[in-house]
Amino acid sequence: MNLQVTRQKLTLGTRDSVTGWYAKSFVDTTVEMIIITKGSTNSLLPPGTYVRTDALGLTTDGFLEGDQILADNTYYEVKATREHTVGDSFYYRECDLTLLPLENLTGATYTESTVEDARYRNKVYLETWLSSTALPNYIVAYGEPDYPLTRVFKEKGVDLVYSLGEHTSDTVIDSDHYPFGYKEHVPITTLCINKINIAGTKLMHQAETELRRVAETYPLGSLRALGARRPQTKRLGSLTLYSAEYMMEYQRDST
Amino acid sequence: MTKPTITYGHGFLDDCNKLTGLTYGDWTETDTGALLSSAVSVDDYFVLTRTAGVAEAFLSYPDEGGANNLNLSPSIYTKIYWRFKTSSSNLKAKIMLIDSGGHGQTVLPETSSTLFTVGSATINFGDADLLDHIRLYANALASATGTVTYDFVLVCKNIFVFPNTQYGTEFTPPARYADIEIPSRITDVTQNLGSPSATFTASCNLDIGRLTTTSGTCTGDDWKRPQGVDAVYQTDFMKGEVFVDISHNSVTEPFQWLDTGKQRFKVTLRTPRFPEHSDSHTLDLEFREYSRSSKSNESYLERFG
Repeated sequence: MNLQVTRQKLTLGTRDSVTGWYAKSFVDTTVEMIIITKGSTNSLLPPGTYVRTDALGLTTDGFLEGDQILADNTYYEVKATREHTVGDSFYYRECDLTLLPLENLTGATYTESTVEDARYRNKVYLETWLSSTALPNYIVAYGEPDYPLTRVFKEKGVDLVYSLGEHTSDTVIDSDHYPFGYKEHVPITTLCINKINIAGTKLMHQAETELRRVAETYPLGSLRALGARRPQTKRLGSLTLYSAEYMMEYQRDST
Repeated sequence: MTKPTITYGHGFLDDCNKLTGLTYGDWTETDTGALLSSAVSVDDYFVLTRTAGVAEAFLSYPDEGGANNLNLSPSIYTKIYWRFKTSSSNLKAKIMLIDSGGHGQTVLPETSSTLFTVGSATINFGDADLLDHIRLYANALASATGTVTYDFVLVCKNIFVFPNTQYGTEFTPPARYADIEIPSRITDVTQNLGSPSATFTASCNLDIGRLTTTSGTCTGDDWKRPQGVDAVYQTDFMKGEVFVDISHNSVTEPFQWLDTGKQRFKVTLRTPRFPEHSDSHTLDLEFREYSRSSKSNESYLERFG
């Protein structure tokens, strides 16, 4: 039985100027892992373990969330890892794996629209006016990046994220029945955690204060107004992710 | 999707109600003498009557043989508007601009129209010369006689395109009788005692100000002039300032040419209103039709066409 698989170690590079996402790159190494897919029965499963996602990987090699595995021409992403120890000694590591059936596909080329994404307009707005002296290390980026947030807080040393979600919108119609503008509502979510010197709950409030200051000081142009706030703080095991969502409402023209 | 437009910033306006005694003298015939007569009709139109023959006939203002010139810079006054008709298709209207170098720009090539027709052109001499004279022609085919009628000639800074009229427009062409109440009314309502002018109202959203023709990367707001350029190049201080300009200068600019997208006519601007509320800044405009003579002189198609 061949247990060798390719580990693709995720590294985050520089941020994309539009999305604010970090560029992903992978470093390939060969490691050993037992991969047990969901629905299969395998006598190698230690007692008490089971397949939570598409597959479970058992290994003694180091893996982090966001790493990928290439095994038998099939790609998996590591979604979570759990280390098992015997006494004080590392024994083995469980990795929850999700299948990546569409990995490495190549698409056709296209010409990007000159009409700016609602998230980008608000990213530029916030990056222009947020104060770096009022906030610790922060970034403004599109929401739902395709890498784990833990990498951002740990590997990139970011303390606070302003995450721009996808917008909802209403069309503004002119008297000649032609649309000429849009009212857009972009959710802005603040995300932070406790760190040495940083109390997450205080930083969350500071992020809101700064967001309000920007909206109060610079409402003109696209007529921005900070709308409803929704608390989003969650306990994720031992981690508390301090979070709140604000709805930025604004008007824009069609170009 | 045609946005309303309006002229602004008069450099020269002749409403064609006076041939002599103007600021720079008279409209003067300087051709070979093919005009039979030139006259003002109903205090509103120049009527140029010509004899048969292919020789061009025209009036110039100011007199090209005199000392006066209009001295209008095409970099400031960029547009010319006119309105004309001919008595038959054998008569030809033509308008030429003469610059300070003695060169001409034909803004209206020889054209016939038995109904009043409006035209416009961009003034461009291709150099830094000034606009000095305007020629109104009455040309004809060899054996034709007849008239060419001009209603107005307007040289203005430019036109302003309304970025939107989101909160509605309303065109009101009144019936042409006086609606007299019972105590004063003698016979039927159709007494032909006159009627109100047509009106056009527009209510605009000043908060969205980008024309579809303006680049998405442009930082300017098209409620300010010049339109379609970055904010740093815009000279207007406030949104909708063009209407303050038109309103303020109405004392010297009798009318503007309004194109609502569906109707076109001379208008005066009533007092513009700029209501500001917490959720919107708007602009309310009312234009009233301008006319020197009775509208009996035109069909409704000519009047609003």
